[in-house]
Amino acid sequence: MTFSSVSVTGLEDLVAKLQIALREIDDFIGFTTERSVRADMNRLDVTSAGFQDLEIVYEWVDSALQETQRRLGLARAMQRQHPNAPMVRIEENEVTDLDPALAERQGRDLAIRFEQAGGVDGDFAALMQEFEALAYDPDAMAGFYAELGPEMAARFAAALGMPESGVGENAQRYLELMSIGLGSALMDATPPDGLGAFQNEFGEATDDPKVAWGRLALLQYGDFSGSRAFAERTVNGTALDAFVAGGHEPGNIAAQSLTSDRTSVGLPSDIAALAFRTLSRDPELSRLVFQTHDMEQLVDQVDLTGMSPPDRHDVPEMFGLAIEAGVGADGDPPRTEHSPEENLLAFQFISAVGRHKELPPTLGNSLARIGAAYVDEIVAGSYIDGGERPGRREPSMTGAPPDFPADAGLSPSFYLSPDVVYRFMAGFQDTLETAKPFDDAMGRLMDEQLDAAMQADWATNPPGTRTQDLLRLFGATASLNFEARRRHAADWDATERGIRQAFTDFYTGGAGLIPTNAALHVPYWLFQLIGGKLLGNWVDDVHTEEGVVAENIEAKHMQWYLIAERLVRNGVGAEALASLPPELRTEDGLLRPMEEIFGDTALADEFYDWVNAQSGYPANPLNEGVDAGQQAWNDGAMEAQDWVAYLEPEPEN
Amino acid sequence: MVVNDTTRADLERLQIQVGRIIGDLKAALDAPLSIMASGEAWTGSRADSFGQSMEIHKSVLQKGADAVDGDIEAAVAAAPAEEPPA
Repeated sequence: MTFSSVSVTGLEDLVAKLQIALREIDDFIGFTTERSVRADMNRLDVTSAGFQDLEIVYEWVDSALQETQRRLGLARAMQRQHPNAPMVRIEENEVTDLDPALAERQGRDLAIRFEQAGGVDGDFAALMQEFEALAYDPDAMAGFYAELGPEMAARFAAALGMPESGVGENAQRYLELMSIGLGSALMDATPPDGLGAFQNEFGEATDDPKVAWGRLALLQYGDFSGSRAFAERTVNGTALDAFVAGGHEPGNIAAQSLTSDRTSVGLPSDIAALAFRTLSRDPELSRLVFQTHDMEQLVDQVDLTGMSPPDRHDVPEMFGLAIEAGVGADGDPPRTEHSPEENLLAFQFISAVGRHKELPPTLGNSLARIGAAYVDEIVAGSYIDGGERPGRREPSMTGAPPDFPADAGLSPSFYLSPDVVYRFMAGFQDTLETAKPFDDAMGRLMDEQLDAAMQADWATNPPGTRTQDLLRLFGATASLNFEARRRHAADWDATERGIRQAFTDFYTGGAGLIPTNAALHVPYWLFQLIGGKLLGNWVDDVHTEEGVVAENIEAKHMQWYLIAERLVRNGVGAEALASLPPELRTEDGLLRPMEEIFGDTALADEFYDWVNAQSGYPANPLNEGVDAGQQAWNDGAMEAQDWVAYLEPEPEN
Repeated sequence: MVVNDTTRADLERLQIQVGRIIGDLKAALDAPLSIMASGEAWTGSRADSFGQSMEIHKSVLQKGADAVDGDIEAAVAAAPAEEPPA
């Protein structure tokens, strides 16, 4: 067995240079051109035996060019499997030696035998064994699909997806190969007769669910990154154009399924869901397709589809994954830096979702991840100007709302509105687990931004107001989030228990406002509780054995401590720290942990006095800093709470 | 070789034209050979054979090009000098 290493770019260069060489020789011998040196010499009755040598070389270069082009096609298909490798390895065998026309013929012959088989019954395994040998060969696969035609191709795929397909556990592998083969066919640099018609027909509307499902199934595994226009036409023509026009109506092709049972290949049976799944595989395709539709209409249809009947829950879930791909919510944690195209789609999507009071629960996981990826925009969108009333402000890609605190340090790519932020967040409050990616992202953002703001503010005298601006925004976001959670959690009692347990763990663990990976979200939860929740009651309720003294502590006390502690950590009041009583210090000279200070009434009082320069303690810049910070948070939180009360009045008991 | 003595000027023009491009012809396989030698496009024993075959064809190409060039030169030399107009 002989192997070669090949590089796509290297072979592209070689092909280009061989084409130039061929033209230069042709200029002399005139094989394909009327004007040539030989023709000029003939006119002057001059001959030369040298042309025989040139003809030999021309024929060799012509053959070498074909061989290199074929090898390039195979290399391209192989490299899609190993996208980051500079060179890929190919086995030298009869396949690589084939003339492109012979490879195409081989593919066509195989397609004819597929047609003769008529389905996946019988000895389909033998046919697929031959198919597998050609699946990465663009010439052979182009011949195969051009010969088989779009309808038969789709019907074979649909047959593999049926629960009782007859091919057993191989169904998924066979479908994968057929999809990979279609991707290879579309890479063919010299498409054969019939492939263009195949591509056109593949994207035409159909009322046959098997054909529709089969087409989309053939896009699930192969590489179509070089043929996105084809994929876009297929997804839209087959399913999404119809979906936008009424995807929840029973007669709509996008509302049909391959089977009422589960498919045998692990793909959704629902045609709309499968269409969205196609987009979830390829971020660029996702954006390309979504920009051909009105996002509000799409979300309306997803909403209607996801609410009933219950067996169409795949549609919102797959739609969410498709949007996640398009807006760049990938990574763990989700990425927060985005391209302009990703920002645009995210803006359109969040704005459209923000028009809905209720959303399908299966969309929730994606909403939380998208919220995490656009956490800056969510916080900025929570801003409420004094005197502003709900419902008036439209989200904007460019314009900040009046008096928006630009110096808060956030860099949003677009500006939402509190209405939209509230409703968007309401979409992922089903359980604490659903909301976790967003809560973690908020914890992370608070951690980064507060440190930066405090350091910037206290670098000047008098200190700046960035920390206050930021805390006011965070307060508004946290309050909108808390109200969304309280009103939209599937089981608020269970959610409350979960939060309470987390606080207990947090409090007894002695964490400051220092999110660890396991508890990133907890300080953010704590800061949501500004509405007078007596934290002590909560903590007492779970009867901790740690002996935490929390009878009198309220959420606001913890917040106050956490702001003070963070200011200290950022160097605020460094001089005052010298006057910190020894009983409030650790061995390292830092503040003792929260549960120790608040676990002893005398220490808590002493700490209060030290910060507030009472009982003989000297002036302490922490005093103003903490008070102003907490006041800013409360202002934001209260404004947001009023906003929600106006936007979504609660029924009177 | 047959030379019509009325075509010496034409032959000389042809020689000049061919002289401008004969170098490109002789070097036509230099760039592909350089790519093969770099190992950045294709390596392995099949690639080695391909490269060797290309070397051989480069020699054939140069031999053919020299022959064409030489035959034109011979034709020019064999053509009688044209009389200046009276």
